Amino acid sequence: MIQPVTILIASGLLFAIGAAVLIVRKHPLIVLLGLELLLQAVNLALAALTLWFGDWNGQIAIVVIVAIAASELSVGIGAAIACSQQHWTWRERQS
Amino acid sequence: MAATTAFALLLLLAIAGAGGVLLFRRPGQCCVAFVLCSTALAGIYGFLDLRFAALIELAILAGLFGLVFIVVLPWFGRHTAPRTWWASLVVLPLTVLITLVLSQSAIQESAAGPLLPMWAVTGSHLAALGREWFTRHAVLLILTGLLLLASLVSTAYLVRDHDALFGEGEK
Repeated sequence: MIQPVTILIASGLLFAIGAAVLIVRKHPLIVLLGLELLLQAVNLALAALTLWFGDWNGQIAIVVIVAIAASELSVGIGAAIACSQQHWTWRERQS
Repeated sequence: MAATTAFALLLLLAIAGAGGVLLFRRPGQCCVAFVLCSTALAGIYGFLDLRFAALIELAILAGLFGLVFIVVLPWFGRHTAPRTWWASLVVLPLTVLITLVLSQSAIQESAAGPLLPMWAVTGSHLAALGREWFTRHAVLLILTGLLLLASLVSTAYLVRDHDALFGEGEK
């Protein structure tokens, strides 16, 4: 029997890894991947709650979040490509 | 017991993929790890009988994101080593098949189910290889357009095919 608590723990772990990627890595594509990991963790938590409460609205929420993640990713990649074409570096500027 | 073991394997695959995003040095390797993670998550959704979410996850995240990330990489001046390309060509379709088998969902029952999302992932790598080898953007654009269309058609076909979405209730 699959316990929803197990899935929630895995979701927390995935969220922690995504947050670590956001903090530690500097490359813009990898930072975007970290953002996607955060959203995937939320989707996994929604899946666990769907199993727990038997409410299938959680599946609809997962689909909406995936659609939003896809749009956010396209905007992020466009911005990152625009920055790279202007030869910006990925270090913090000394202001 | 077998179902619990399969589910645990899928969870481990997802966490291993996420760990790969954190630990791998090259962006190409991180992209491959991310696609592994999202494919395993699609298998988990299938295991929990969230079929629509599993299909969307496979078609959009594993297929489209794999395509977007790996194709966009050369624009950042990074060149992925050929062995990474070949490794992803072998590993990712196998991963899709393994997660679909492990998920034990109704996706397997449809003949088109395992094949089209798998080829969306594989084909995205072929398109990226085409860009590396031939540097012909028209070929890449046509290939990626066809692959996206195939992913959307396969998703729509499988959604239409499932009674769970349009029937009276879940099993």
